[in-house]
Amino acid sequence: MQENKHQESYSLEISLDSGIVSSIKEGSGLVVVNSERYPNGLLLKVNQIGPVKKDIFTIIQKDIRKLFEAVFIPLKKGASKSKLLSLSFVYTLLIPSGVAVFFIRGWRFGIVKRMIKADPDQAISPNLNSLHDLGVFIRDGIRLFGAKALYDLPKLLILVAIGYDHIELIIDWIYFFLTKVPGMGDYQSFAEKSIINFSTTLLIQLIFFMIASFLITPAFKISMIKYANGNISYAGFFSMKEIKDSYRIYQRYKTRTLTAYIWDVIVTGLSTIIGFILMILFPFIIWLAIPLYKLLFKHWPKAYAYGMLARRLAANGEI
Amino acid sequence: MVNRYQIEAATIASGITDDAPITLELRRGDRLIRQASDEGEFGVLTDNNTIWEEIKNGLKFIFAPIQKPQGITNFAFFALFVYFLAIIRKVLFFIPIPIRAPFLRGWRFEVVRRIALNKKTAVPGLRPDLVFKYFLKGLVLMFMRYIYFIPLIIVAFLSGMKMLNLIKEVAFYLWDVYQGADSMGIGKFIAVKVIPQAGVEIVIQLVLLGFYVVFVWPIYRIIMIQYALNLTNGFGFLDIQVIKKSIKIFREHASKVYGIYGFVVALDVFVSWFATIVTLFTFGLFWLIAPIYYLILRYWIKGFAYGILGRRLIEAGALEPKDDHQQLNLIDSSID
Repeated sequence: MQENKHQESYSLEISLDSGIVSSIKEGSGLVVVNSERYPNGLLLKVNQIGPVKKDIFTIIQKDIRKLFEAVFIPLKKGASKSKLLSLSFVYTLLIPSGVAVFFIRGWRFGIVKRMIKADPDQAISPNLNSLHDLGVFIRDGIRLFGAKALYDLPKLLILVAIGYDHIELIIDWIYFFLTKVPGMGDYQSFAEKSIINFSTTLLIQLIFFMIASFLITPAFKISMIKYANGNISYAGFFSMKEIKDSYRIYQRYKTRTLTAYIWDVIVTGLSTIIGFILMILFPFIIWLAIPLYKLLFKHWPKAYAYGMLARRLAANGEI
Repeated sequence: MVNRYQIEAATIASGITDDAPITLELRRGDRLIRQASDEGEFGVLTDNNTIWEEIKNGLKFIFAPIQKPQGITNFAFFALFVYFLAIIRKVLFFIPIPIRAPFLRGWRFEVVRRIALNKKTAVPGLRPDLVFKYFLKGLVLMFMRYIYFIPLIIVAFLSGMKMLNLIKEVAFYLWDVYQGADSMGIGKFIAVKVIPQAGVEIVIQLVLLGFYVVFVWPIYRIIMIQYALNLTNGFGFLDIQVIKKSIKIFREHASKVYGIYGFVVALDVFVSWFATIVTLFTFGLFWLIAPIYYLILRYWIKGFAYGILGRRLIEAGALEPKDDHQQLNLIDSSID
């Protein structure tokens, strides 16, 4: 029987006869058998039992709350703050040359790696103490950037198609506002014409774009987690077998995976918009603070979300 | 009656329960999910965050060779020589031949060799035979660099030509509009003509530039280090065997190479920015200190960095330097 020194929590979703259910109460012992992961059975103590909650929103809400709390982890302790400052210093130095694009991806990858490892003596944020460490981040960042670019090709093509189809419309609109004082009738006919143009192709393209995003990127992220855990080599990103496996995991953990992905999308969008507004409001003061801002409110929450997903996958033996 | 239930449970450290445990058998559709821990700090004290000390030590390390008596003498003489070249450049401004560059590059090349081999005197001096060597090796390096970057230049040029054609078309279009000739709407014109052409050109340039930045640059530098260590000659840059070997070294030690790369590229940008700003604020008087500024920041530090990369590759067993008494070989080591 599987016994553990450290206490581990489990959630069991199971079909039970009402007779058995009445004998299970808080504090009773359970032996779960016939589990693939624990062939010898697993001894557990019940904390709570109730009808299954099919409420996905509860799971998402719980995860999102954890993610929100995590945003401020770097500001909690002295050691965290000093690490954040040193990182943002290096990040600032690397931004003008463009190396930061790779560096930051590598750093985020390092976070996922460390979160899987979950060594209490080690921080989640990987160390950056030497040029060699920097090189590791840049190397990993370049590798991930390359793989992601290939995965994102279909999305890119759709985006280009959208651009081609609608640039004319957008430019006509700008032209319209610049050259004409919009009389109501004029405006209405123009708007009607645009809506017809707009709704036909754009809608289809946008749907394709969304499907591509939700189909491809989360699976890529799972492959990235597998790569971080050393389950696959770099070639694994392009191996059919591994891609299928990533989809299998994606399908099994769709709520968690999608929560991480949607969080990623929202964080990226919001931090970009707020950053942009800050840049306009305080163009001179904010310039030096932008790397710190991006590190804290964009890259760290994104990396943490995938790290959290990675921990879930690791805990359940998926990676 | 069978229903679906959710049980939250935890393992028991002792392995003992009050009552006899109930056995539950998992069937198809049942799920046992282990909750992952969400603990962890961004930084912990036991985990070394020594970056500030590393930077301080790094700076000391970089300038230590110049602070030695022999180092400072060699550096001062070479700096004077660079000043002399700068003055000649100003006087002979009408001759479009680079005078300083080969000397400086050759000098830096010698820095790479000395740092990589951990020589006692790391700063190369102004001995006449050495200066001659700097010049020739500098020329070889400049030539090889041009050859390496020719594809990039050609593509940039061709795509630049296409962009010129595009500008021409835009001009014709605007002329048509001005003349009131029957032409397509501006939106359509941009959508049909400008965006596809400009977009494709920009993508081609970006992809190629990315390839150079990520791949060609490191390979070029690894060959340069081998050349500095006398492991190949000037033609090594074009020798497929040497290139293959360098790719292998790069693949195995990418993190070492990229670490130096990040440092050098970031440094380059700041050196240029700072020079531009100071030039603007001093109304061009920066020229007076420019030679020494560049000699230190662009040539000494970068040479030092490549040298350290060489040393790391030697330590890792990727490069095995021969006994280097024959340093006068220029292109073919068999000539001396």
